[in-house]
Amino acid sequence: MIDRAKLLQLHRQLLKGSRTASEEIAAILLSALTNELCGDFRHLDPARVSDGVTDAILDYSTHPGSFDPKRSVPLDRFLRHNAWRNVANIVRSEKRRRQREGIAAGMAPVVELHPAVGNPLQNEITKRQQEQEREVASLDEPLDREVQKLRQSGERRTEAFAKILGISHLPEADQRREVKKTKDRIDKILRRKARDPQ
Amino acid sequence: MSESDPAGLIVRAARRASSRDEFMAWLLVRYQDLEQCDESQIAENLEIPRADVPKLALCLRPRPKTFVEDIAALAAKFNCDASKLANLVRLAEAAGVMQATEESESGAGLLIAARKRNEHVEEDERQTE
Repeated sequence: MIDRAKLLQLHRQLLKGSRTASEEIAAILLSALTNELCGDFRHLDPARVSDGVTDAILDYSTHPGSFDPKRSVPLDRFLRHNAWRNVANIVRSEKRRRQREGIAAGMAPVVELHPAVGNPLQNEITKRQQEQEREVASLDEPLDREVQKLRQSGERRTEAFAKILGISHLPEADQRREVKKTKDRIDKILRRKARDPQ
Repeated sequence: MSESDPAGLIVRAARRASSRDEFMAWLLVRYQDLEQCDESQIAENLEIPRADVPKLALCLRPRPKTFVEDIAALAAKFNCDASKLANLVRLAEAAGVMQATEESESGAGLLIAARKRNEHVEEDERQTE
């Protein structure tokens, strides 16, 4: 049972600048809202559901003014609504990622199942694969080659690249920055090599 | 992790908060990087139970203008020595500033390198013409 009077009190403390109220709100709502939303998103990993709930609580904690108690929606319902939206966004992005992976994975069997010489589609795919292999081979650093191969496979998740780069221990924002830096650097190298093959 | 494991959820939430610089989690990660230590060493240093470290991480970080009061409030909540907590926060803040400076310098270095390369290319093109 959620103590709404306590939550309202914590909300007022947050508005006044309390540094500790965010933790108390998380302690009260994180588990309760995650359990509730796991019912709405039965096929999703509970950890991903909790990420959506966490983001809602963290966002609210840094901007407590986003909640207006006068609107007669209790804080837990307000955060549940925001958390639901966050989890739905996670579901959408995972779906898009799976679609991309499916497209990327679907290309390889075409090459294996229909190796007919002269088939224009086959030729185009082979040409593209050769171009990709050339790109990878043109990179001097083994790590860059691994990153480029992963990009070519359609992977877009930062965590997958962070694993290769050995930076999984860093905060997400730092991982994103480092991964972007690496990709940009690889793109520059490839552009330079395309311009000047020697 | 089970959805009904509140302690596990708090630990995961604390990790997630470490990418947001408004939270203590962000400072604790910088401190860990700087001191090459883990959560249990932080707990030892602050003389608090290890299970309280993720809870501390979910608190908002002290504000510069009310630093002393904010540290006092955090120390009271977790029953730890305010001066030790203040020391940890100051070190972590310094580590954060150093990291940001390093990043901006390496970014500037890349820009200079890119600019020089472009200058060379433009020079080559002019010579070809």
